[in-house]
Amino acid sequence: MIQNLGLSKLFWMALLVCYSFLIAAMYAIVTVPDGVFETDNPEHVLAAIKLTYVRLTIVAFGLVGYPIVLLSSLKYAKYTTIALTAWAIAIYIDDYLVLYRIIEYPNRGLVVVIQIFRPVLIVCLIWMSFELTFHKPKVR
Amino acid sequence: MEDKKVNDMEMSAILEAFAQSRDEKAVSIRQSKTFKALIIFCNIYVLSFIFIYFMLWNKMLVAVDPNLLSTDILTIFNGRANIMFWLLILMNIGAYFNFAFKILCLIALVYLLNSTIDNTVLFSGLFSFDDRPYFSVFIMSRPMFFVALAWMGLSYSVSLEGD
Repeated sequence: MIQNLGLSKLFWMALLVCYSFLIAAMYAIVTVPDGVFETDNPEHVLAAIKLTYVRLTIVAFGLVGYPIVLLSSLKYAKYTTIALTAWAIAIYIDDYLVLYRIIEYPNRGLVVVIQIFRPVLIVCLIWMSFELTFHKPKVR
Repeated sequence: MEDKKVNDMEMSAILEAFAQSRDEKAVSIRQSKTFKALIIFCNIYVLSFIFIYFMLWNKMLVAVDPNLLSTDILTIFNGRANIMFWLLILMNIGAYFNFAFKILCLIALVYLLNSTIDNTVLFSGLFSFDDRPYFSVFIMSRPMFFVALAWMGLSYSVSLEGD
């Protein structure tokens, strides 16, 4: 079934990296210890927690729904991937250029690693978007 | 010496090639009236709110609630206004050159949805609709803009092959 889609190995590797990253991010958010946050600015911490849980819900739906869309229709998978890529870039830009004075993420633990590797997720998503856009289906 | 002048047959072939290209380009900008109305509406909507925002930022407009200008909230609106401005520019260029317009519409829609969710989560308890009229109008008209953006993307007809 997967071979019938005719996508490259790089696409599947990028998808694997995305899933690994997002599952690790979900694990980091759910299991974040209480003492990790800086308590100087509780409003900023609260804002980060609220925002993170909203994003976590969207990511959970994305992780479950994406394989279904991909296996059902490549056309809709293309639009879904582009939408998810746009969202990943939007929240990255928002966090660093727009919301940096409002939210505060923990400075320790797995959360820091997740923050550092966010560009890798975006690169993988961009690759997947390009591949699905310029992918030519095999003629049987 | 070899004659390098273009003969009549070659000249007509060149003219025909350009005529075909011109026809294709002419077709590419023939959009429905709905699409034209929607793209004009989106441009006016975004630019008018950016204009109101910069009037407030430069203290050229009286802010009903002075706290609006003294908080970090303006930093967020500054970032959002800039990003939306560049998205609008890209969408207009995409529509004119018939290149990736639907994808740009989708990106703008996702970005707007994300920023609306962010604003709702972060500022839900901070605002009252009565004391911040500019902000209230902006929030109340958001769903209308979502619909306009989605409709614009759907009503856009792609006339060149391979887009």
